[in-house]
Amino acid sequence: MREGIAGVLAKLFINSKLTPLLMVTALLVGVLATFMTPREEEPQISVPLVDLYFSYPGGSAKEVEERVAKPVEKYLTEIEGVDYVYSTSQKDFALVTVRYDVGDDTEESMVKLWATIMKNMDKMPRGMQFPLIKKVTIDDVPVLTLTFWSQSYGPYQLRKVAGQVADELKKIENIGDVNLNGGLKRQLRIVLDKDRLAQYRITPLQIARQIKASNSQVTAGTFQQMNRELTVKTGRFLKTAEDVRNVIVGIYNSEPVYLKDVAKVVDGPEEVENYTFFGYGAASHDVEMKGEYPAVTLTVAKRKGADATALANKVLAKVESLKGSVITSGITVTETRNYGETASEKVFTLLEHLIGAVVAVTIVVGLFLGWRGGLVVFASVPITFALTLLVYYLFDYTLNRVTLFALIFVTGIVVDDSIIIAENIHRHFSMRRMPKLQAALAAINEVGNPTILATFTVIASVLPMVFVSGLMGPYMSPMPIGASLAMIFSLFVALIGTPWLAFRLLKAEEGHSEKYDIRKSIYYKVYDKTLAPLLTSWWKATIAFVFVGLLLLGSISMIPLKMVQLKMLPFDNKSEFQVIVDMPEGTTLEQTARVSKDIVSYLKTVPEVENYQYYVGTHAPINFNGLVRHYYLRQSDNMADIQVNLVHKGERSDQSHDIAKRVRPKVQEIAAKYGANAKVVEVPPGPPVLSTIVAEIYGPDMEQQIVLARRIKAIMEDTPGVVDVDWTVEDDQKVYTMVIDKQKAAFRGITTEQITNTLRMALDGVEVGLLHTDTELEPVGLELRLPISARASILDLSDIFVKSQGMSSLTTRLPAGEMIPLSELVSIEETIEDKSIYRKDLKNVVYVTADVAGVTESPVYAMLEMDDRIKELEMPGGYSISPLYTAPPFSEEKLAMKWDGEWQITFEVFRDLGAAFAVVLVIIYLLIVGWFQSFKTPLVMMVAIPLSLVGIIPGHFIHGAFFTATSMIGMIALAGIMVRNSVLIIDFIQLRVQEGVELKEAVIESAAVRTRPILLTAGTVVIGAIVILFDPIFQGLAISLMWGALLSTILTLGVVPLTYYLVENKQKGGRPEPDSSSQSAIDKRVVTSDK
Amino acid sequence: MKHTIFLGCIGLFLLFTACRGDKPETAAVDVQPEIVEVENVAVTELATAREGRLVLLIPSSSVFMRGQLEGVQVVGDDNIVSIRWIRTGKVSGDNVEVLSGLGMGEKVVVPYVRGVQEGFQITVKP
Repeated sequence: MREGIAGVLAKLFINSKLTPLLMVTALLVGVLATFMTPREEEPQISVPLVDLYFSYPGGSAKEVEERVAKPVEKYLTEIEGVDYVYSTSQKDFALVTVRYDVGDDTEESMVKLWATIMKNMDKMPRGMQFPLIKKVTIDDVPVLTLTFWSQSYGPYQLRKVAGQVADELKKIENIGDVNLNGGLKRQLRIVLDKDRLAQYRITPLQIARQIKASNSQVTAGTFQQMNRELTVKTGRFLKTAEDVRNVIVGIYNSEPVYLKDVAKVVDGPEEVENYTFFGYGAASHDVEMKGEYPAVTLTVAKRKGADATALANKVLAKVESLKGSVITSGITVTETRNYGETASEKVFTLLEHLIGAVVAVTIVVGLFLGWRGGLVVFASVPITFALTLLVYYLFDYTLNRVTLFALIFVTGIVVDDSIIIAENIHRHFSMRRMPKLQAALAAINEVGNPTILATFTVIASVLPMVFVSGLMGPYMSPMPIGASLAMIFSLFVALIGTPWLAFRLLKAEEGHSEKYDIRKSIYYKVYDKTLAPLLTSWWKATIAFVFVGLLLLGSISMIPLKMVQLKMLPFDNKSEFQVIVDMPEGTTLEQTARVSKDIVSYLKTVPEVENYQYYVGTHAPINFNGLVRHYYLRQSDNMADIQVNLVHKGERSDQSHDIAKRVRPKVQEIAAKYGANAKVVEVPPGPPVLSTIVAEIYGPDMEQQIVLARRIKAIMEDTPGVVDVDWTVEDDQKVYTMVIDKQKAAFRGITTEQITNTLRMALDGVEVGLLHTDTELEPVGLELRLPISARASILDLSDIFVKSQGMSSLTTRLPAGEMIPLSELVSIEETIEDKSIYRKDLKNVVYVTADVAGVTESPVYAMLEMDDRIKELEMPGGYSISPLYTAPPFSEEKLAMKWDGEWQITFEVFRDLGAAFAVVLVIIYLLIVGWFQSFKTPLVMMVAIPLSLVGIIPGHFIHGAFFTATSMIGMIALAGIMVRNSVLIIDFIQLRVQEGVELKEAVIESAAVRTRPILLTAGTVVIGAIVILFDPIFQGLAISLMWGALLSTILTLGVVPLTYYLVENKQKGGRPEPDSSSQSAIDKRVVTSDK
Repeated sequence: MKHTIFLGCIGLFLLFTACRGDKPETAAVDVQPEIVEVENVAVTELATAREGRLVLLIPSSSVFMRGQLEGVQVVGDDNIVSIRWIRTGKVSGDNVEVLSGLGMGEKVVVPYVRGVQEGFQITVKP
């Protein structure tokens, strides 16, 4: 009897007292790890994304692009590890976004970035202010948002209360950023009175200077007296509105002019700059509250690596305790986002799935091997998972949907090792050829080594997925790592724990008196009927092969026939979506509010809507998607975000994606009425991108690019299934340019700076300092501005005065102090505002974005459809555009277009997975060659791999599902499982041949013997997969595993023994020596095991 | 015997594949609007301000304050009230200039009625 590592291990532990202790310890440690590992919803993705904000006052968009954006981009691309550089240049301002390779160390990237920027600061244009550099990470996304709303209070009071609460919350450990969205801040508004100013001959600039000057306080120094040191302070900060009112701003007729004489000082809310409301939807239980209420949303982010659930619970408890004291009656606090709860829920659903799968698998095993056998297998799963969870904890992984997915994914596979061992022990016990202990050891020796090999083939098949690059990488990598770990642990459990348990629990079946004989089993009879004729007649075998080949071809052809569509990831069933409203540039806040309100009054009638908040002029609390799409920069008057929260998924029958699809036409119809663009934005299941479909248009100049973009946009709007079409070209916005008559200004002793500053102060308001109160949490600014009624028209502005600087301006000899109305110095011109210039990786680009929903759910098909029409477009140079798919155009001489968005990630993922699959095949081949010492046998075994497609593709068709990335993962894993089945069959054939059985007999016999464990393992895979069949994301995986395992198992059991027989038989016929290579392999093994 | 059970399992699993889930549609509840009587309804007026520019005027008494927000009760064609947030400018006499939030020819409730909510139907006092 050969004895391998498996046998040695089993012998060591089968009677050891340590074995049960080890098992119990592993279990306990695992349970502990489960509770200690932090839980969160999204996997920890490190995408070092850095935003650089450059302010270059006075520059036109083109100038900003040339002076700031272009050089900065060039410097940044020199940095190692920089993946993409994007820039947006607008008037006065440029935003440059740098994206590093996914997984790069954030701190290191920041250091490199700083070093590069600092190195080149001297080359930047004068007048450019030092950039603001902000790192964007996934931990910036709030995990909890609480909306404070009230029937009786306004946004100002609400913000005050929410601010107090925020201050209290900050004291909780592990809390990250706490922010407020919406509401009005306290501000000391100095509302200038134009007529009084003119009367007292005082200019706004003068007031600003005086306030700044009087709002100071310093420690002047110390003096000693009587052995004591006394500190002297001078000056006094402005502490109250009264202080500000009494600031002397000038002298008129030898009388002091106080600020209160020329301006109204209002201590209170700032001017309305956002509208934020809360309301209940149709699904709400609160029927009383039908209206909508001013609201302020408090957002809570967590610190990296913290447990979202624990944090959310602590915050909620704290808020509860503040009710009655800080949160007065009349203010309601509603939880509008709780990722802690959803994370916890997700984790528990997945754990439920796990338990369900384990129980189902146990029942199946129990049916075959009796309840004792089931128990043996049942015990091995928790131990395996306990150990895997421990490793997760030690490696600082968090429990999130991806790491748990890895566990579910392997549930059906990790039991296999135990099943194979337990089944074989069971078989040997039934054969009753040996005493119990010897029988058990013999059983382990027989299948132990092939099991080890088989485990490694499965590991080899999943492990290359680690190398998926790009944004999808972090979503994928926990899977192969977790699955591989679980496989290794399951092997140890199978070799150490299972024999111990089986030896004690399994009994030889008492009922049968005769010896177990394979020839009497039903499997043998079936094989004798079906396989034997094929072995003897070559044409019957040929027919069988042709039949299988046709099945395979038929299945694969379902993909080009579009019976099964490809998609990256399907939508998850979330409980929220957003509506992003963009009005034409130049729309007032109130008009935007009106449109949002119209949309909302439709949305609240949707039966699944629990509540909604809308934020006009400010952004909604961001999510991961918004983070990547830069939604946190949406703060203009013409923008609004509507956050829609749905009822819990248990209480509705439609998935969130279907609801979004249902409301979209109506939302867009309302928006179109006002010329607005409204997008229904869902939380993407995978990594977020700018938009599902992005067409990047490159070209020699912006005008041509815009022309092409417009035509492509029209094509998109025309294509069925393509929705939410938008582009990055802004509408024409009218601006007034006040052209300064330089000559006149110089003659009157007035500088351009004076004029621009005065105008800015009048219109936009200028913060001239802070009110130094001790009690306020948020800083209270002093804002100098004209009242809204005095800045309603361009004519209002021209009767603002500036004071001549006289001789000190160096341009005139007139005396200083003369009041000159602006209208004398400027003339007004109407122009069109500069459009933003977008660049990506140093190329100018115009983006056209869209989403897909309805007819086509997968962007690839929509893109292919549009391709044909884009190719037909006539270009001015007489050439045609053929959209690019993988890389941006090499030259920008001609107009060109590239598809991006979800496609880019899909392409990268399927490319990497495809490459991984190729590597998998090579590794599996090497492993088997190493084991069987034959070049041919592995090929026979790998015949089974493509057979899984026969199940997988029609399976997707039957379920009407997309072939997704998770389907692909299932397919890759199946390759490992199928090869393992082949290994088990062929190893047994060789064993029998070695024992002297004739080849044909050995083939049939081993097929019969191995059918039960193989069916059993396939059964567990199928049963394990059924549990996740109804999860929207994992559906693809479930289908792949179920159908693939089922059909390919059936086919493998026929095809592999048949092929092996044909190959071996031919060799035997050709040469007198029976397969020398495999024979010598066996000899070698006998030798080694004899040692 | 056991094999039939296994085949049964496969049958069960085939059954699973058949369930793709039909979703029942939940109907929106139709709410009868509440009817309120108001003093008057005014149409926004176009006027010429002193600088010669056009301004939109509404009666000052139609503007209500909600906390710090200014709003009016706009009456739609179907006499259904909706709340609109506006920004006001200069006051001239009984009227106030609307800078944004209202369009020409829209009707507002004058004077505004406390407690009137979105979706109420109004009738004007004869």
